[in-house]
Amino acid sequence: MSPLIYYLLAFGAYTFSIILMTGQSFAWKETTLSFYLGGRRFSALPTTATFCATWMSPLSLVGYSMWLYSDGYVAFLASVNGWILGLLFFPFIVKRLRMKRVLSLPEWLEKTYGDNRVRKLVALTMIFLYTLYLVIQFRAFGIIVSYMLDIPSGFASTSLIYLFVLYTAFGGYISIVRSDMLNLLLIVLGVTVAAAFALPSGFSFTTAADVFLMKGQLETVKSLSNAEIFSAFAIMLSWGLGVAGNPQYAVRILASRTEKDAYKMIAASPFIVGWIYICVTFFILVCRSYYPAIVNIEETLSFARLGQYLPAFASTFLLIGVIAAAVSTANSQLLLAACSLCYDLFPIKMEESKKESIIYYEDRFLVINRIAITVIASIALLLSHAGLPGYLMLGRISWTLVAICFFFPLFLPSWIINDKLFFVLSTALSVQCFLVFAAEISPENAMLAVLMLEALLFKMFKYSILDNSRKTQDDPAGEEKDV
Amino acid sequence: MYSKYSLETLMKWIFMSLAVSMVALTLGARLHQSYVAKKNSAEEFGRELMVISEEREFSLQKEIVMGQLGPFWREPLPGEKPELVIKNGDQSLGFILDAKNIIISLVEDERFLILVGLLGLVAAVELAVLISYVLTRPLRRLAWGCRQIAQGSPVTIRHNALSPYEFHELTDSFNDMAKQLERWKEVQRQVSRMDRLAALGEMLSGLSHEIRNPLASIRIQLDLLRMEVESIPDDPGSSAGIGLSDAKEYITILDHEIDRLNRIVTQLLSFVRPKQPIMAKVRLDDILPWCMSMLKPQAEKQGIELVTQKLDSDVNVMADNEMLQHIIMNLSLNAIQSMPASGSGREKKLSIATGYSETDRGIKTMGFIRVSDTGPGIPAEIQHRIFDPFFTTRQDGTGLGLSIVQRIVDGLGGTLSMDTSSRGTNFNIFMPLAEDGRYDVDLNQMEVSANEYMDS
Repeated sequence: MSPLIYYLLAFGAYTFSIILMTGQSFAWKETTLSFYLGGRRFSALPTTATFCATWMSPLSLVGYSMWLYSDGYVAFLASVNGWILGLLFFPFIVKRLRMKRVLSLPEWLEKTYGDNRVRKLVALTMIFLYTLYLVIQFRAFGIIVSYMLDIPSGFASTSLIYLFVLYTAFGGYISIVRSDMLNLLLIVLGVTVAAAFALPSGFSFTTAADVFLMKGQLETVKSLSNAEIFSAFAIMLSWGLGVAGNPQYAVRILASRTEKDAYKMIAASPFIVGWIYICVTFFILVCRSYYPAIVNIEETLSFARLGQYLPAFASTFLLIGVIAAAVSTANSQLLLAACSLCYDLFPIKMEESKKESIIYYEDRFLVINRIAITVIASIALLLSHAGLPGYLMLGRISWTLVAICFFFPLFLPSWIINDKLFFVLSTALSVQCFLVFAAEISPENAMLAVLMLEALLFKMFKYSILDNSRKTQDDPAGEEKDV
Repeated sequence: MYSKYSLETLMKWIFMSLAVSMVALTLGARLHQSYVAKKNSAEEFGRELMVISEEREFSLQKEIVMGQLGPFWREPLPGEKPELVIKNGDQSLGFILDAKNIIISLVEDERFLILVGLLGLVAAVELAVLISYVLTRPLRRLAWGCRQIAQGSPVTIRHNALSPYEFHELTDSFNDMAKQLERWKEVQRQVSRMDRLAALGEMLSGLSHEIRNPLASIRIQLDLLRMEVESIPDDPGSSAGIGLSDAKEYITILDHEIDRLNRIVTQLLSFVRPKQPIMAKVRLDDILPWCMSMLKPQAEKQGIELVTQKLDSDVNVMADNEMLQHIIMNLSLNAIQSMPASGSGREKKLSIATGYSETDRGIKTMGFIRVSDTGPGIPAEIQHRIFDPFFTTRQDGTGLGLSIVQRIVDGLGGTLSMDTSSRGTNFNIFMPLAEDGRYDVDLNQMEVSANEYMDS
């Protein structure tokens, strides 16, 4: 049968499933807490599902795959290693994050370091980087759908994700978790089927081992120059730190029902994410060995074309998996961007005298959130048709900004001087933007320099405070003497 | 038992079913039309080829003939009867229409329409979500309002501009109902208070008589005792038992205590059976100097500034002058006691003002007396009880002052209102005017109402 019929059927089935599984958009008993964090009532299983589904974006699937396809194992070392490295940081922040009972990471920063300006700065950065990141999801979805349904890649195909994402994000965290359970299932199924049917001669463990250890594959790493190794290391570090500080994952830690559930989620997710990466890596290595001809075309389209070497049904599963990855990441990012805009950047305060009308306040607030979701999604939709750089570049810009904003406040709180945090973060972000956009230095190299600058500033302020207090202790009447 | 599905789910299903039906109908009709057209075209072409083959008697390779026929014809499987037979040289080639290929071609051709159908489906569901939002939000607010009423809190639901007018009607009806319930609660409170007061009055009346008779006897005996003691000559040298001066002192104390008891009983009786008012024209302007002279020493002693204000001149009301003074005295003493002695740091001020005013009773002009203090106000939780007899927050109070005030004001045909906040409390007494020819009418009405009151 024609692959088009498979694709149409699969796309139709996905559309129906999303509609039916997402649940209510405007729940009867919704509150701000249930909209942002699902009322903190999800157990380990759904939380793990949404954690992994959000993790797997088109950048992780398509961007990584095509990098692996063109450059071999170096892509694995620089990206997958970095992402898994970031995962190792999460257990250290579970207690710290959950202790404050907050609704967003910028709010956590304010409550922890007592500076509202930090909250606003970080919220603004999050809106910028998530809008940028949404472009990746929209673009990937558009290209895959246009390839699958053989329609022109343009506004029509991209606007489909706009409808999907609005539909799932309108219901807040609860509907995102529900749709993410379906999305994760499709992603896992897609990559597993692709790996199982990738080998023309049929799957066997010995052949699979041969593919992984093929001489040509390993040589891609051995032949790296020192500069390339440093560059790969820098990318690994930036993506690792980006994952570690990413509010998308921090929010899932905040939203877990209990601390134990959060730990369970962190413990289970490497297995699922790892399985997906193994399958994708295997599929791409097979394609790299057997079908090396796909070059010089857009990365998502290249990925979709690699699917043509699979049986039609397997290719369908794989491409639907990419669509699921785009939808799952996009709705989560959209919710976070709206939260940053409405809750952190321009919060609507309830008048003290009108406390009794909390139901009106919450209704109004949540409607405004949905309007913000629509506005941000529309901007991302328009940007996806603008001439922005490729996935990897957008991803690198976003991850490095995340690392600069959150790494020190989240993981090294003892370094932070509360009243200097705003100055340090705003300086660091400005320098990073200058280095990347004006000086055109690669984002991860710029990030390493900026992280060092941050560390230096924190230490400098720390020592100056210690020095001052020592002077005051030694010479309490110093001021009078000066006079 | 509640059903598990929400209005949004219901709407989604309805809209989705409608959208699916519409898409299925439109798409089905279109696909069927295309299928028939493609089939007819293929058959037509097949027939033409068959005619040509019979006329020209060509001999071609089988693949070339199939290529000429196009993708919609295939060779029949064993057992299948050919729908088209083409003479090719001295042999006949049989062909059959390939429905599967026609359908694949159809889907490829109509994929845009299918996609538009899917888009329409998502759009229909999102429309269902929006419609259910518009419907459920006012309902949610009404449900919240009902819960508030069930918990005993007064509530008014605000209108939502986006809601259809039926919901505005519903909201108005709900607000009317809530208002009526509040009024009904107030009436119930009043009725219950009246019942309690009636029972209390009956009991106090009997009790006061029972106390007053032995009290009169005690007073007589005490007077006799005093006379006896005073007739004994003073003996400063005596040291046995209690001294004469001690006995005199004890008698004085007893005398005071009997007086106090008598006052309380009198107060109780005046509460239970207030004396009949002597209604006359009272000039409120004249009351202010009296207030000043009566209250100034007490206010100065407490460090309170006493202010009298004549907001309007020549305000004449129908009342009993003595009772009016009694009311003002009671309220003023209450106000003085409510202001903390020292240390609060706020200004201590007692104001008594008179003038014309309006009331919510519908009578346009009335005379009023306002007694205001700058005390801490009356806590919300006890505001509804302050006019209850024996309700007091002071250790030495009888709790009768304000209830007597209210009784007197009611008896005089006036109204008493109070507004309080953390900045102080105002008591407003509104009395009917005795002017402009209304004097006689009002006087008669007042007498009637006073008599009715006395009878009750």
